[in-house]
Amino acid sequence: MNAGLRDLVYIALFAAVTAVLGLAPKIDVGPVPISAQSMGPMLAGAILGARAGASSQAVFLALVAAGLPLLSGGRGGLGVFGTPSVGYLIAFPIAAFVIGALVERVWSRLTFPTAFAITLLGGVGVIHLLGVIGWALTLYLGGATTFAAAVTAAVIGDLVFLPGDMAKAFLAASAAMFVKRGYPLIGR
Amino acid sequence: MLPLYIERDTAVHRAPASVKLAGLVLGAVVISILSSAKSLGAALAVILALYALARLPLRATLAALKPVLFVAALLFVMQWAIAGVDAAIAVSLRVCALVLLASLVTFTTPLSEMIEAITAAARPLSLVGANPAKLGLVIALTLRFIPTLMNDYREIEAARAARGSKRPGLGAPAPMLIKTLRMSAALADAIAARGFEERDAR
Repeated sequence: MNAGLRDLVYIALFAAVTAVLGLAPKIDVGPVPISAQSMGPMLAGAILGARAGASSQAVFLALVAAGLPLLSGGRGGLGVFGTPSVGYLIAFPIAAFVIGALVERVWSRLTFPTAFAITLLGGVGVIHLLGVIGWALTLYLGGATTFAAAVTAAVIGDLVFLPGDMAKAFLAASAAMFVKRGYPLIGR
Repeated sequence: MLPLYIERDTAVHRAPASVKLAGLVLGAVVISILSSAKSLGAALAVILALYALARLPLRATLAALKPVLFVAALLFVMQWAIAGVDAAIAVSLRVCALVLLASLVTFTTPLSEMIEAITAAARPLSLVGANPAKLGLVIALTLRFIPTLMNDYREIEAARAARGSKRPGLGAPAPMLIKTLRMSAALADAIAARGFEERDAR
């Protein structure tokens, strides 16, 4: 009953969860802030699955673009899509989709180590890959002459976030396993 | 949670959201093509004149620039070392102009108009099976969920602090997720009971 409608409400819920995670205390490292926000796509993908998870992150980005200060540190508006954060943001729905697709595939025999591997791959791998590309492109298109120099700068900057994001992948995987045991939504 | 919109009654504010968004796209293309420091300086002057016309406070302008200042400074140093001081100035001006232009649209357009513009922009998606009416419902629900979730979190944190626990709680989020998922399912049933049928959403 109302499966379609429930999905819509879950999509809204995880868009809101991602927003609220950004309001938790954060640390600034250079131009990109470290916050709990990147747990949003990990949780959405691992709990809602590929389609609904990705949709929730797309809705979150639409609200940011519309001018709500939902990003960590109270940032928002169209301007953020011109800052070095752009790659990380665009990666949110893609990471949720990748995590969701993998979790759906192994759902019935999903254990914590598998879940952690999936959140690492989708939540850390995908987000950091696209993040570095976006960061390098903003530097390169901004006029830093060689592409190699821009990529080097972006990779070095990105490494700062790796340990924190791996810890977040661990937390997201344990939360997802908790929800799987208590209130499973995938494989209904 | 306040939108970044700054209310004023000016020509910039009254312009339709679609015109401003089209102007943003066009402006971004022009700024990306311009290469001399002089022309980019002129473009920045035009944008700042629009800020003045929209009677936006200086504080807002500075707040919009804050996240890119680091990048602008980094680019300035890199360019100076590679291509000289003129190119360095041009690059920094371009980055600042782009972000200020995008922020101008955000500062002068009410949230409701932006959401309408987004829903309108999403209309072509109906060709691949999505529905703009669905998007409207989801956005409304999300905006309602954000304060609810924050309250839930504060309550759990307050309860934990009252028990004398000092470290930040990592145990709260997971039970909170299940609680809100249950609430969401009940909410979906309530919406259905009020006549929003699934075929409306399809």
